[in-house]
Amino acid sequence: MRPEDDAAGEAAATPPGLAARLGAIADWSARLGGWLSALLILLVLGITSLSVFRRYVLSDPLLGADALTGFLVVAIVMLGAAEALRRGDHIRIDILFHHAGQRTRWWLELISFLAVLGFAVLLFRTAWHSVAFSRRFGAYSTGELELPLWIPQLLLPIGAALLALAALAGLLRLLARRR
Amino acid sequence: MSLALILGGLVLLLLAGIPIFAALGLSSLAVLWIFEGKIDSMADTIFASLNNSLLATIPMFAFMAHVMIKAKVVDDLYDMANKLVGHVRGGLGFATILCCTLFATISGSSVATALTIGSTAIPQMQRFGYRPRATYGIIAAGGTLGILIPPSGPMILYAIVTNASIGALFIAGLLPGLMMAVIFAVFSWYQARAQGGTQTQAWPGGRAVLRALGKSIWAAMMPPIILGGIFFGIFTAAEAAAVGALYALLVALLVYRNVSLKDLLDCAYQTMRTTAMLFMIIAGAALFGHAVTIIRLPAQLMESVAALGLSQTAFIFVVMGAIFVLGMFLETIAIILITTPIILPAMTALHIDPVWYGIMLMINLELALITPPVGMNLFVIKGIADAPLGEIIRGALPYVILLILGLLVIWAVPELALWLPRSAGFGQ
Repeated sequence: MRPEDDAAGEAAATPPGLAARLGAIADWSARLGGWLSALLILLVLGITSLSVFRRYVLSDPLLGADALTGFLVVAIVMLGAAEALRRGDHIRIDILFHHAGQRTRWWLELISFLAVLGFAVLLFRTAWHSVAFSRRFGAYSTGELELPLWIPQLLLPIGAALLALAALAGLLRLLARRR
Repeated sequence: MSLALILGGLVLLLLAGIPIFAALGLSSLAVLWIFEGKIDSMADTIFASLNNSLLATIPMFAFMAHVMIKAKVVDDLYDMANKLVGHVRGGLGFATILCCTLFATISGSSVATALTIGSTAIPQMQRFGYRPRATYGIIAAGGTLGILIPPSGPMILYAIVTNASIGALFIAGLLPGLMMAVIFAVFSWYQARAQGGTQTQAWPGGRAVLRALGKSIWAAMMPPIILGGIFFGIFTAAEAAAVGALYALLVALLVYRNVSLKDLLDCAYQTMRTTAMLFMIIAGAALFGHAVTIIRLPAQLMESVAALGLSQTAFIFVVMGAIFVLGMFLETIAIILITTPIILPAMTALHIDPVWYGIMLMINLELALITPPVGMNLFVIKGIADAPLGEIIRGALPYVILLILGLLVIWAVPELALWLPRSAGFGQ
């Protein structure tokens, strides 16, 4: 789970054929998600600033701003998580890793990617059920927005799929490095 | 049994080097699977934990800090502090702590404070005869001020978990933060004089000092805008974050005029990386909180406290001791999110003020940043200075003792943390 900046290592570990194509798709989708997430941060800033302006200057509060910001936070995290994984940003305790030999390190990396992949797959599965449940029962969000709940909930399976793809790509690169 | 399962599983996964969010999530899911036979609540728990508009405060403050750094507003801060006290023997260390204190009001992160100030101040101090070990200690300790002096990312998370007011915590952190800054500065000055060999800079002249003060005014205006707005009830913390970020944008675009649209997008991108990393830990911790509730861990702890007849003082000492040990191994955000939901019911039962506890927790987390084997500020300094970790740890050791003393002072005199928020009308 090293950052992508470690270019030499990545180049040496580029997997062949189908795996390389999957890696490229995973990288591209993670990057896209990351940039969308970055733009949403600016959107949140804009909404909060507009909300402050309308409340204090126009005495006309922006209804639904809080609810929308909450959903945008979900979007920011879910769309950015895969890019954070690709860049090696997710914090982990690496005491063992630093003291391990080359071979043990490889195994620790493998376990790490498998764990993230497992987490992402389970999240996708349960999130998909939540989306389906909300659609079936016509659930709406509380507050001023009254948005069909499945719409913001859909961010979870999308983010989980991106994360799973990024973890899978990392896993394939790791396996290629072993070869 | 259940406690051993969840904590043992978590420790194993963490030691294996699995990202903290996944380790928290998977160990919690194992517990849910064993005790409930299903993990259906996973997505809903994560969605509920992230769907919180207060969380947006953190990326907005982070964006503000990135813009201020990119525009090199921070460089003017160091220049001002340097010109102001650099001519006094031992004054450079003093200037560095002063700069860390001012930067802490911009950044909200200890690592960012240590990284930003350290890259400029470590070579500068060493050039003027400071022993390397002393410079590492000054930066390690000065950096920790980032989470005690508002705005503070960890404070926001703690406030969200405990339902305490973010504004009250920000205001409460001010006096203890300044107290620690003064203690650090005085110690660094004393250490420099005691060790000898440090050279002073020439007095740059009154006009140059005034010019430096004038240039740094844009950064120095940040605390009055953010904290003043919260203190006088003009803004909520989230609104203060937005106003602070807008102010940073205006200063960068209109005053410094050294950032492009591409730079601003890069600031948003860097903010996204930190936010996604941090908030995924929140998602994992939400599952952990759910799992410990299923196995009744908070309730069991409360019953044990009652059965043992633990007093408020004894409870605080036990908890602070445990957090100090955890801090040697875990990252600060994870400590807040793992421990707070477990001890919150017992805290409430023992009438422990959540704001007072929050400030003690922040000082304890400052310790976590500079105690080995896992101390983020130590690693940051290693990255900047390429020095042996042992040398950095020895440099930070006196500050560990000072922080423990500071923690004891806040415990003994709660008013140091509580007076200002009460004066501002919080909790009335």
